Amino acid sequence: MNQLRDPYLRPNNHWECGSASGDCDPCPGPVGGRCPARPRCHPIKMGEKWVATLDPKLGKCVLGPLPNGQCCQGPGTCSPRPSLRAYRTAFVWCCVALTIAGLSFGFSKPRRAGFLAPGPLSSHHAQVLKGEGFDRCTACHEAASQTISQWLASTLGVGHHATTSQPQLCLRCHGEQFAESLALAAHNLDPDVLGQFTARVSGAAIPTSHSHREPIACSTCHREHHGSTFNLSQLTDRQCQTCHATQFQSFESNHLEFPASYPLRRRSRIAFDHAAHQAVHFASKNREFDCRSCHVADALQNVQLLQSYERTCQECHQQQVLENESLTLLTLPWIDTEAIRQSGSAVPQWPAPASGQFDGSIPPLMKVLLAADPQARAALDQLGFEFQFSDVDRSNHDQVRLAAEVANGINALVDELAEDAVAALRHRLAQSLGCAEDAKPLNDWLASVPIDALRSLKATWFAQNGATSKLTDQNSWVARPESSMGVVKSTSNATTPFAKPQGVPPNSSSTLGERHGMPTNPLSSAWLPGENDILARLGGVMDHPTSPQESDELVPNPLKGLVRPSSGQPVLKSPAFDNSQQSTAATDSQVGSNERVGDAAQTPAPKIPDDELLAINPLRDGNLPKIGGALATPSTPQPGASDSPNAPIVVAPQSAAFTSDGWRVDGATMTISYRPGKHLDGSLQALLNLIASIESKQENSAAQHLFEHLTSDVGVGACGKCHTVDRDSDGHSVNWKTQYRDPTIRGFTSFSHRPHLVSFEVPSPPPRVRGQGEGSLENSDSPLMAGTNHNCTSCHQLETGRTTAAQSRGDDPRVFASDFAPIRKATCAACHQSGLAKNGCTECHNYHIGSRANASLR
Amino acid sequence: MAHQLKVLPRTALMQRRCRYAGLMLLVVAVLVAWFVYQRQNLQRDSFTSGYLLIGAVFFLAAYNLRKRIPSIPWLGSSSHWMQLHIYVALGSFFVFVWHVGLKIPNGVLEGCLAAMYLTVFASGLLGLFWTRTIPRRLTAVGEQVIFEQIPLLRREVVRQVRALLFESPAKSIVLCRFYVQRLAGFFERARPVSYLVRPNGHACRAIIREIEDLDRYLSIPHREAGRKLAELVRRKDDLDYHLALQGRLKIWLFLHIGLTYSLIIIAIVHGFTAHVFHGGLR
Repeated sequence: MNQLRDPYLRPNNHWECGSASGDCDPCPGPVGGRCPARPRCHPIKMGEKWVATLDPKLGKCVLGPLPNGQCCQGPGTCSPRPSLRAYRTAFVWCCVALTIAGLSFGFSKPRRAGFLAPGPLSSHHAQVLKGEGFDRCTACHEAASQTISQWLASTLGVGHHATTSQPQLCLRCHGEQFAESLALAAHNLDPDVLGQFTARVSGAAIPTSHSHREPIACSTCHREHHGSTFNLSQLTDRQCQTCHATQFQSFESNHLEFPASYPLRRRSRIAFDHAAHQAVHFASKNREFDCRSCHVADALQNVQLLQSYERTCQECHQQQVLENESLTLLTLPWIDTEAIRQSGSAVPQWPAPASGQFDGSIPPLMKVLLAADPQARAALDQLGFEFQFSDVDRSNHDQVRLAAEVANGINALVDELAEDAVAALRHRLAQSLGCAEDAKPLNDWLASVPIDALRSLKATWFAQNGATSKLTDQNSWVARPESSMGVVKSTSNATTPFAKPQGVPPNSSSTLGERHGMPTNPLSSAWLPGENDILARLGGVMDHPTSPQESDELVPNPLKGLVRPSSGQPVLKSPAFDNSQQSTAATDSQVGSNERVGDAAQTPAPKIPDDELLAINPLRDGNLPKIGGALATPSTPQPGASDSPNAPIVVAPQSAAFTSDGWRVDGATMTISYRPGKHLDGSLQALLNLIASIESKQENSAAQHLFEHLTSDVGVGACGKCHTVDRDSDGHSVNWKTQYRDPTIRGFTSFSHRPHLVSFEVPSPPPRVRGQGEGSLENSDSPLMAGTNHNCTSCHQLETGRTTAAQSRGDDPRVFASDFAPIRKATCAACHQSGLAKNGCTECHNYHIGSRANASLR
Repeated sequence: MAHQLKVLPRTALMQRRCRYAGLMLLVVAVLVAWFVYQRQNLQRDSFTSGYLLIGAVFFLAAYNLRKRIPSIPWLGSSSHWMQLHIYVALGSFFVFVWHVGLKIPNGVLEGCLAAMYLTVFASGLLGLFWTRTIPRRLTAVGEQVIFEQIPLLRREVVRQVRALLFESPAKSIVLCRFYVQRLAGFFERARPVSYLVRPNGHACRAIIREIEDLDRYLSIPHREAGRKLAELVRRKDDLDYHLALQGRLKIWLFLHIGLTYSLIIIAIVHGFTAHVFHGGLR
């Protein structure tokens, strides 16, 4: 009883007495919201004991009557009211309910994106995904396209699972920037390549903190939902070096020294000798050697670009480009049909003007075309790489037989050209070079070939076969038709050492063809003046044959006697000299000329200077060397002069000229050649690209010879003088452009000139020594310290005594010696250090390396 | 047998607080160092701090559960739980600051969650302040009153007043009129909200002064009744003072506990969605 009436009210009770009057007895409080008080009864005394008379329907009285016979219950009942605890519980449930309702409201489909987004996107992503509602989330999160039940199932590992990872979603937009297989690789590099590069650069072992083979999710570094101004690529130096085994405290303190060749990773694509141009060429012309006359900033001033050829080099080098040697596509050598007949070989059909003693050679491009003919190729292989027809010993039947095979190959080539020139060239080049017949460079080059001229070769050049046969049948010198001899004047007091031309009757101006009933070759008319010009230049005067006996003598070949010793100094060789061993190293144009003027020089020829020898090319200009004391004088044919048999030979300086498209079909020399008409000539580029692109060039002597010829300094167009040739896994490639801006190639470092080329004078700060040894900033010649940071030479200083002449020779662009001194770390660290300029990793280094860098880093 | 509360001396109390606070700061420092290490190594320190936060919230909410099951001795005393509750809550604030990055979260869900945490944390601080100051003020009153008994005691005071004024054989007309005109509202109505917010004795002192002023109109026996009436006025004011201050200790728990459950729910949803939308290599 006392316990029940304890006035202590437990605070955890949810109900309390609701008696407003307070006149009820203290009670332990309502139970379940009901007043524990019961109605009063009137106990009755049964013997000595009082018994309650409560209605059993109202329950059983637990306490029973009081000892004095009164009821144990209080004066009455009350309506219990909720306690403060009950209100608190209700408040908690209300909060829970409101929270769940709010979450449900927020998770509803239209509002989910804005509700769940942890923050605004960066401006780049926000602009791309603008106005896409909740679908904008699906661009990066596959979960956004799922229901909440699918989230639960995915989290619990049952039911639907995400099939597209977040990096894959990133690559849907950024896939063009990275190769899919390497997108998640460290630095987007093949792990093996990265390992090799790491070992090569730092000499350190493979990173140990993180396996470099583990994929790295995009979100590891790029944290989104931090607002529009947040820099997604912002990383601290420590974060940058997370995976690195060798970590640097700062750039200026213990960062690695730059590579020895920095900032050059390779040689320049254009071989340009800065030192020589500065010290010699510009100085000789009293021109200022200003870097900015050739190097100009791009629109953003980030990169220094090279001015065009026309603005820089053309003024001095245009003549070399246009007037260098021509490229001979086809030429007919001189063959000795009689010797061939005697050797028992098949005598090829050969034009009369090109029949006689073996002479001439096969130009490189023609060798490539002949290499497609198995028999001709075999013959060329046996005759040797430096084979010339003049080397053929007519008494050596084997040599004659092989020469006949080559001649037959030329014959077959001409036949094919006559039938379908394009198909013949396409097929032969493709077969010989091992490239596809529809290769683009091949198509490009074929588009520039004079098809009509090639088709008509057989009809024009080989029209005199009858005369050839006839003359050879007579075992006599295959004389040229009169037209080919032009207005050759005879002289009774000839002092020329050359033999008189054979087959030309004295005092005759009729052509040989006419005399033998041959049709007149229209092309030969173009050839004749040139021939006479040659003869005139070399012989000065030419004797007419005075008797039929003299017709057996051959017209001396003025180039025949010229040999180029190993030293490169040309000398005029005596006919007695063994020309089979030391033949003339005729250039391509010389080969093309094939001026057979006989080799009957009777006296040793004087030595001719090199430049004079090169000037001998009768097809090029009017320079006429003196040979054997004869005066070579270009002269105009004088009408009526031919009437005098003793008059000196006067040769008309006429020759087939190059057409506007660059080709020349010279019937005089029976040569089809090409000369570029401009810098970066399309036809020449196409041919060089074609030859460079084939992989089997090293095993293909003809292709290799042609490639070396085209890329030499003295080759046609002189391309190789400036444009270097690189060798990579795909073969060779000619660097036609000065700079390549391939976005897929992104190295580990980047540099912008813009912030470094501000034009103001910066006071020289005191040198701050932070590093040790090589990295010390003492005695630094930094741009700031020089006080002229707008000056290119503050960083790019020419290395005295070094030239780039040798660096362009090889085909490995990484093996080179720059004429500039390398830039050292101290130069950059003079400014880029704590407290001065930014010196973080990302100032210079890129994380994402271009996909093609995999190959370049190997 | 009533449990005797062990009251620590003030210096010992301060030493204990310093000791616990130092330990809490040490743990926080270790945690921050861990977060920094993770962040510098491109690891997800937000998940680490998030898990720690939600763990702390669960632990703090478990104190309420502990109070419901006082019969398990190995759970530790409620006093120890209270100490842990305080210092874990203070430590969780540093983790929270690191988690949100010293900025106001931009997202709706995250904003609600942060606001919820801060409200609960602030209510906890307020409750801590009140539980440290109000008992001292109540002790100064001199009488220990159970909050739940206050209505009953107030009714008892009213009954005593009525008995004194109206049921006494020698009742005073002056006092009866004074009660009807001046004291009925004081005794029978609830105190205004301003008093509950800022309880004071102004009204009590004014009434007692007025009762004293009535002495010149009362006979000597009636003056004795006036003094008893003044004591009942003081008694009623003390009960109101208890009601106001103890009511604060009850009311702040409404906010603190009620929002704790909302905080837990939103935190779970936030963690769940963070995992679902985390992405990474998944």
